[in-house]
Amino acid sequence: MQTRIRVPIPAALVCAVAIAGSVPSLAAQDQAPSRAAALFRRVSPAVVRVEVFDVKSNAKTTTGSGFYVSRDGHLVTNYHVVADWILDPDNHRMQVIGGEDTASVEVLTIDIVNDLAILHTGRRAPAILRMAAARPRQGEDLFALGYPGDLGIAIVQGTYNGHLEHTLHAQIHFTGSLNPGMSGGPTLNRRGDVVGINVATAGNQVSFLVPGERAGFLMAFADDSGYVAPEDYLPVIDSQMTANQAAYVDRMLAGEMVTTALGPFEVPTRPAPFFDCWGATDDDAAPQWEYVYHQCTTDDRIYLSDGYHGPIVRLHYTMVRAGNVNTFQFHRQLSSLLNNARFWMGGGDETTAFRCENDNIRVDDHAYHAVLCARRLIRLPDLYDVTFRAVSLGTRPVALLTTLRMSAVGFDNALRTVQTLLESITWTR
Amino acid sequence: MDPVIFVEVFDHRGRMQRREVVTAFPVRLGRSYRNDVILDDPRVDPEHAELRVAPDGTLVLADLGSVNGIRRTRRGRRRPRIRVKTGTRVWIGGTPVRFCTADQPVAPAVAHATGMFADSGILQRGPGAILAVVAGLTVLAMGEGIGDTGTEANAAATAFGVTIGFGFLLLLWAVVWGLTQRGVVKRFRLLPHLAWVSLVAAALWLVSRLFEYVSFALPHWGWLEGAEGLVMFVGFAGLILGHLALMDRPRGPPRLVMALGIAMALEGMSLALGDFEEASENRTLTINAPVKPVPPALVAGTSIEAWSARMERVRVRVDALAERASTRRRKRDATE
Repeated sequence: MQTRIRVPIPAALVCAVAIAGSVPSLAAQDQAPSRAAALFRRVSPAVVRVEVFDVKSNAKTTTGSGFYVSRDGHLVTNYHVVADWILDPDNHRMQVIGGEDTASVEVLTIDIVNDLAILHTGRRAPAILRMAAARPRQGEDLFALGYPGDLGIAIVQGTYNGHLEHTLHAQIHFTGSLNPGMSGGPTLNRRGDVVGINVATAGNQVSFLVPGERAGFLMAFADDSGYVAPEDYLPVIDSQMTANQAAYVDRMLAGEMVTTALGPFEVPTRPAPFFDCWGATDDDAAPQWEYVYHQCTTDDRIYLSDGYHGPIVRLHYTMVRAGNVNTFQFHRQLSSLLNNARFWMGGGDETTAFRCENDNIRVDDHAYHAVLCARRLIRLPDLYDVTFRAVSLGTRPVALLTTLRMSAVGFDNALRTVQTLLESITWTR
Repeated sequence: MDPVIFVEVFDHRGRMQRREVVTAFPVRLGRSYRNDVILDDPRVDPEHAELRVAPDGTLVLADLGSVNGIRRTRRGRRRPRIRVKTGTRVWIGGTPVRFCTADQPVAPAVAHATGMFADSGILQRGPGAILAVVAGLTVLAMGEGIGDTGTEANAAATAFGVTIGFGFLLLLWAVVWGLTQRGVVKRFRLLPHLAWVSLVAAALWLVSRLFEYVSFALPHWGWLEGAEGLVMFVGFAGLILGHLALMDRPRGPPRLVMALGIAMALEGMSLALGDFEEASENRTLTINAPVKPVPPALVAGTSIEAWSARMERVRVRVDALAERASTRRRKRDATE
């Protein structure tokens, strides 16, 4: 069903992922060997390896990269690099390794939406990096640094390709090979200023960076003299994710819904400009049935833990058109479509089990049989995963199955989205 | 005065053949026609045994030097004499015989099965029973086959598969009851049980579909689920009651009590298994919302606002789950 393959996966984590060697950029070999070498000599002392240890086994659970941004020992890395420690500080410890030097480190603040964390070591930084003042031009050479696969420090040359089109939160499209372990490392322009922070890859040199200014804002916040790091990060995560989903849903529901035709149905598509829609038709699966799929999602992802990460909103329609079948067959097929909910749900230990409620909804003169399922994030009391499915009634021989899946949202926001969605769907008999 | 004694002659499968009243003693038992009680058994001597009144007034059965003797049980030791009270069973040669006085207690009468459960009823006679099996399986096969979502050939295959599958299950169930009946009254009857279970299974299948339709059209009637459970339980108890009724000589507690007891035990077992499933439920999403061919006009629908308000209950339920999980986690952390 899903035709998309370019799902970004977090450029994490575990050292065992380290087999695949990075493909060196051809451009790097031909044009700028000396530039990369010079840059590397200058900036590499500021780039460190960040390691999270499991206390009981006394071995690494995660390695990533980070870089110094202040002489006092402030470091920038990804939230997902230190997530194990943040979510379970009693059973983990952290250290940073720069050259021969190993130092213990603490987390000062996090930005879970942009997947960033500011760390602090007690030591003076051997070198620091500055955020770039201006955005690069498309095609400009960038240099990513980090510790891929725990193999040792590496510099990777690539190009700047602007911001991703289908995200609410800006991410830089970097054409260069980021590999697991480079997460949290800097990507620099030719002058050695930080353009972005390595965060994820979709393979084949398609990689993603958090814009450097995000880290700049976070650093300014943590560097304030009155700032005290929180004891427990769960309330911070909760409030950041809650604020984010509220803003996300507001942006999504603001303005007119754009609709598109699916057979006799007019359905909202691309709820907001940062959504991206894909479709397919399947008429060979069974002779009597035709399915038309239309789905919209965004490339924004929230990484909470290894078991819980993904986009916030997924909207999916299936239009069914039946050939020569009787009403029992037709409705039996609708039942199996509605009840077949084998989505990847993840969740790990973060969520409760699902609970569902069936109902029939009438909007104007349209009727739906609907089921709402929800589960809560156990440690984040304001956030739920909500799956809504509804099938149109009285539209035989066609029917519309609408699926809205929202992760880590407020319950009321999910209901509000369902409401707007159903109010925007129309059909003619 | 000599007592009045009833001599009851059984066949080797335990069914009574004859009952003779004797008043004059001694009473001679054997195969020859000169006896008071004639036993038609090649292992019985022409003059086999004699029932006498002893000087103290008690009755004694004495062996008259027979080939196979008299015994208290079939494989027991042969004895020269056996003291006889009311209800005493003895084996004379290969024939079980019981001696009773007029004081012999008897079991209270059981209600005579009537209607289709009676010996002459539709379930107990071949053609009626076969018709019931065919009717029951037809309902199940049609019901499943007509809604098959594939081609016509698929629908036929589904109907055939359902017939075979359900037929096998029903047969298995009927065999269990047939064997039970054989254990109780030494008579193996399969067809009446098969006919009964086919009818009831088809009826319960229809009832559960009916409930699906009603709860689809009226999702707010939360009590429907409980009502369906109750109806299904009553149906199940009725199924067992029918099987007991077909076994024409039940012993022990009244049929209704037994039927309810058995139904409750089986229901309890399935509930326990259900609970087990619930407990092992992981984080996968299971939706159970059948869509039924009911015209939208007959479907009770709520406005989107009322729906939103009603969905609060989902939030309440998952909040409760989360609270429980947090408490568990805190306890676990505390023990570490």
